[in-house]
Amino acid sequence: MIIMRFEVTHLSDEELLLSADGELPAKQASAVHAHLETCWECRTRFAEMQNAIGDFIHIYRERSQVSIPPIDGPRALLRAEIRQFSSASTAHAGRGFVASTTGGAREWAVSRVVEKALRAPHVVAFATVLATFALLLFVVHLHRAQLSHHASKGSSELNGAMPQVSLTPGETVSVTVQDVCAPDFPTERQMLVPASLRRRVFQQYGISNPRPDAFEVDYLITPDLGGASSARNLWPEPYHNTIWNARVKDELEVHLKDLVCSGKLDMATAQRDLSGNWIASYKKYFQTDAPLGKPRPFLALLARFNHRELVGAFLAP
Amino acid sequence: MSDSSRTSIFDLLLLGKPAVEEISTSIAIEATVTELFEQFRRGMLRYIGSLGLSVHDGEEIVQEVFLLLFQHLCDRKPQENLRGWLFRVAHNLALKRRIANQAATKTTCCISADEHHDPRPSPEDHLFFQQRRDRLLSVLHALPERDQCCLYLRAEGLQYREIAGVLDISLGSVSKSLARAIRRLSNADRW
Repeated sequence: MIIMRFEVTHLSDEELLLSADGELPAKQASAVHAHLETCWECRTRFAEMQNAIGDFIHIYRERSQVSIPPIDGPRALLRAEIRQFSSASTAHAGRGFVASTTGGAREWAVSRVVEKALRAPHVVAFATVLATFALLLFVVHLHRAQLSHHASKGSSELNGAMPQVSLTPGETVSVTVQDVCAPDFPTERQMLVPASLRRRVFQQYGISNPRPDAFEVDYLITPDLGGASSARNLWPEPYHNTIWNARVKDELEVHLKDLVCSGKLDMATAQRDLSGNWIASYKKYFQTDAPLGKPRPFLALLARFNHRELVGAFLAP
Repeated sequence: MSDSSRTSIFDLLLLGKPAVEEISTSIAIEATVTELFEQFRRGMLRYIGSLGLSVHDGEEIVQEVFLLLFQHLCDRKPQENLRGWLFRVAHNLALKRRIANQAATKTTCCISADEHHDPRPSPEDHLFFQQRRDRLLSVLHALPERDQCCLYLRAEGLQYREIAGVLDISLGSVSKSLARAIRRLSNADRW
């Protein structure tokens, strides 16, 4: 009977832990402290629990010391994603902040869902099949386009190579040179244009039911240099344009980014060179009147596409 | 998050502000989100990792959580106890990701015994430490998942009411889970 009474007066593990964690009401906490002062048994158990907590924390902390990478890259990526999200939101001009945020979120969500889906192996396999099919269509189309290009060479060289300034003046998001030059900053290839935004761009240019292999919805100011993912920075660039095409523009974009990141050119100038007459800029920077690259061989065509663009094209209306 | 930054966001989040202030709001929210990211990323990655997910998965989930936080703040939703909110969203996304991963490959929950290698030089010390550590890990793995989650969240500094919110259980369940888990870890040395 004495032993029973003794056991009843001891503190439970839960009471000891609640006390150690400061989770007890003041009155109860002082009662626990008073008991611990007088009871060796409870004090020993309390010390054992503290040791167990220490052991657990030791094991738990090992994890972060071993495997968590530095914060710089992920933080730059988060900032870029937030700014892209913000720019998608502000594209809904003329509405309140909440409404525009929600609208932008929808587009952003579509983009992220597609991006996530593309990470799944079976989706990538499916995309590869689609890509093969699309390439076959594309080669046939290119052959036809080249024939028609040779038939009407001249003014058609510039047809569609430049956007309409009133519709696509170019738009930027607020990023610094450090942001865009960070190794983890998302590239244009990673910035899938959401299907809803593609649809809006086509509508603005009066193009209804575009064939997936006819146009690339291209950024005027590349996101690699702070270009926004908005309708004012996108235009439908026809694939049949074989001279001043997206590949040539890519060369200029890469060159400008190199200049910006090496401190030889400020970002605002680079953005203006792209949003103004990018063909004139190309001629200026490369000191040439014609694109430097040779006519695209088949493998170069393959390299130009990745599965995102192709699936993006198929998701377009 | 400091009191001053919270106050400024509350000020900026007032309805009916003109466009320039909307941009200011967005910038202030971005700054807050970045600050919280710097403060909690590591702990969230640890917690997500403890649920059996890779660092790569963890990074993606943490990015997702903080984008949702940005949206949450832009939509002027409640800002009380953002730490609890962050861990709750991370917990839910991590469980979803784990289910998706398990559909592809069988994964094991929590910190595995052979995941880390202790670099201690002395073979005797190493052996002793390794054996004890493995014993603790096996006890840890044998705990119910809820108990483990309570431990990990408590290790990240969450209070009992925050843990209850993250796991959607009662305060009493949290203290019972923690007490049971600590007692079993404590008994791991008695062999």
